[in-house]
Amino acid sequence: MSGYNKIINQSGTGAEKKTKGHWWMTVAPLYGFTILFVALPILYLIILSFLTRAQTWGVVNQFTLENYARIVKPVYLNTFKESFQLAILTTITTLLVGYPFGYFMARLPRKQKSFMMLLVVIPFWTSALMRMYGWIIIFRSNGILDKILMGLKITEKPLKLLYSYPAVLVGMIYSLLPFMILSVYSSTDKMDWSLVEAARDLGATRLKAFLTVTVKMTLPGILSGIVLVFIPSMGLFFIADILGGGKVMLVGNLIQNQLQSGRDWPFAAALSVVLMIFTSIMIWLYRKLSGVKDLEGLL
Amino acid sequence: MSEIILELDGIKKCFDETDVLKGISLSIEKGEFITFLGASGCGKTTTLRIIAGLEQPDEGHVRLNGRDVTDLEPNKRNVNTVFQNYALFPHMDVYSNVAYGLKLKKVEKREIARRVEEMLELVQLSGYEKRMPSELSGGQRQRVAIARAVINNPQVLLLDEPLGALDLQLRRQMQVELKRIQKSLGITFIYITHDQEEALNMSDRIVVMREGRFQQIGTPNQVYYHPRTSYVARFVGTANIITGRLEEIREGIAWIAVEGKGEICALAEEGQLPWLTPGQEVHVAVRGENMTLHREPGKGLRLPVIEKSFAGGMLRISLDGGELGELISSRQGIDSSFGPGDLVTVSWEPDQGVFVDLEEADERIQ
Repeated sequence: MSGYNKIINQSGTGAEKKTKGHWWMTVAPLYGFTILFVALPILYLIILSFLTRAQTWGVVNQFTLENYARIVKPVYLNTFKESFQLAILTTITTLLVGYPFGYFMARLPRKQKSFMMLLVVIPFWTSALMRMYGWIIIFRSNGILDKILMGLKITEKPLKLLYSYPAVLVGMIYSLLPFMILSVYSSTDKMDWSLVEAARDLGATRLKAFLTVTVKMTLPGILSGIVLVFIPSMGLFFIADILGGGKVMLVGNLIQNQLQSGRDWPFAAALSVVLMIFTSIMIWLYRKLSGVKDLEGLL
Repeated sequence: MSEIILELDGIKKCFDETDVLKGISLSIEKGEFITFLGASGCGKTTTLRIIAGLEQPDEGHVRLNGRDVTDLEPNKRNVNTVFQNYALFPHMDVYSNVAYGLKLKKVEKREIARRVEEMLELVQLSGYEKRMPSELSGGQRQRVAIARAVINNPQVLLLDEPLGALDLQLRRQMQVELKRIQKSLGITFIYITHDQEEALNMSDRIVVMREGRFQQIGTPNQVYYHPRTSYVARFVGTANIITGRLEEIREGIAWIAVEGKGEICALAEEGQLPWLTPGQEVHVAVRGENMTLHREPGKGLRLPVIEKSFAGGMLRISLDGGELGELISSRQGIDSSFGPGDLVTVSWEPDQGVFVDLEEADERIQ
């Protein structure tokens, strides 16, 4: 009996040893990738943000807090404020348009559902830059939009929409709407509709059932959509560049300017770090509010 | 007690060109415990959803307390449902779940608190107010679902296989509990199940459904002892169905010849006489426990034994009935002198044989 047990024990520890010896082989590439392409660049960015700009090109290894102090200057603070406003406006609009879209998409019959999904995803197959240039054709003076509006006698002269704040806003909404739609769709699709029936059965009107049950059940989708739209809309500089024509300055543009034209790497790094902190707070808030660890829909 | 609370009148419903309900009518009395019994897909859940207003019938009417509610939205009917999967709101605690209906009715806060407490006491969940549904066991969720529905004081409570997800022991316990709740509140219960034991245990009346039609409506006693159709006889308590040719009726007892096997008897009820003519083919249902086996030849069926088995305190003896299929006789105890291959005579008391599938059965129900 004891001999038998011994054999079992031995083989048991043997197997354990084997897995213990090799477990890292499966995880190592993952850690390696994360350290190499995520942790190290961020670390580099943080270090960079505390260094001093060189007179001509590059950086000098001299510690300073100057870069962060500069951000508080009204010019830059204002950029943050404007970015923030545009991001909020973009998020609210995509939510108002994207929620009903995603909701009704999830309620379609299966075949139509996958067709709609295709329509939502198709834009991702072409370069975002190309699609922005498409908007120029629509927005420019005497462009498609002006021709239609004037043809219908709604307006008399060209609207001069291109290179304006509204054009940037439309561009933002256009590029980020799919993220909101897919987030809402994903949580609506998972919903247990018997909960809504139960609410109706207990005396709730359609609206009341929607507000007390559906909204609560799709909240993770709403919040994840907000995060997925809000964060990029702070940094998508090329939209402001192409459709705003330099009139609209966002944090993303500021960073890009400092990096390329201004050649002030440390300041660009400091701006990025602040933006990153901002983003982290958003994600932390999301986790706190939704109680979900992953972002609904896409991540 | 004979006040009609709910009336179904010629309800028809079709999903994707499949007739789920083929015109059903029924009157339910106040305070009744009525069970819809049937295999899955027989249309019982659809019937319930039509009563609740979650589904619209294609044809027919639903009347609640004499008022036509067919087109009324579910929130405007004084009917509540206990859903099959309970459908508790996962984002609300037990208190908010139970209080949901009253809050919508804008009942005063203190009154809500009082009634929720009362309800939780009734379902024996006092002290669970702050728990979330995910922190409850299946049986506890079940109780919350019942409390959440019953607190609105509905005229009719609909229960869709409420015990389906529970284990056997808990199910038996909840059967007793549900019956207790129903009696103490005096609410009409419409209960759905595919479990015949549950139906026989709890109901005042059972409605046996099959393929969108009612097969039989009656007390558990009637359904069990006087099944109208072979389907009911088989579904409720598994009976043997024997087909033969009616020879004669003497003093209320019918004698039926089964070709090559012998002669059997059945009770010919007064009401059935118009549908019984000597020479016609008839079907007789007999329960296994009512069959007696003899070694000696005599009145009855002469059949060979296939096998015997012992289960649940009952000895089952399978008999080879030829074209009749396998007949199963059961009795208490384990001793029997018969073994496989033995030729035996099967007989029963005349009142244990029941005619099924007579034409009149359909007419009586519809």
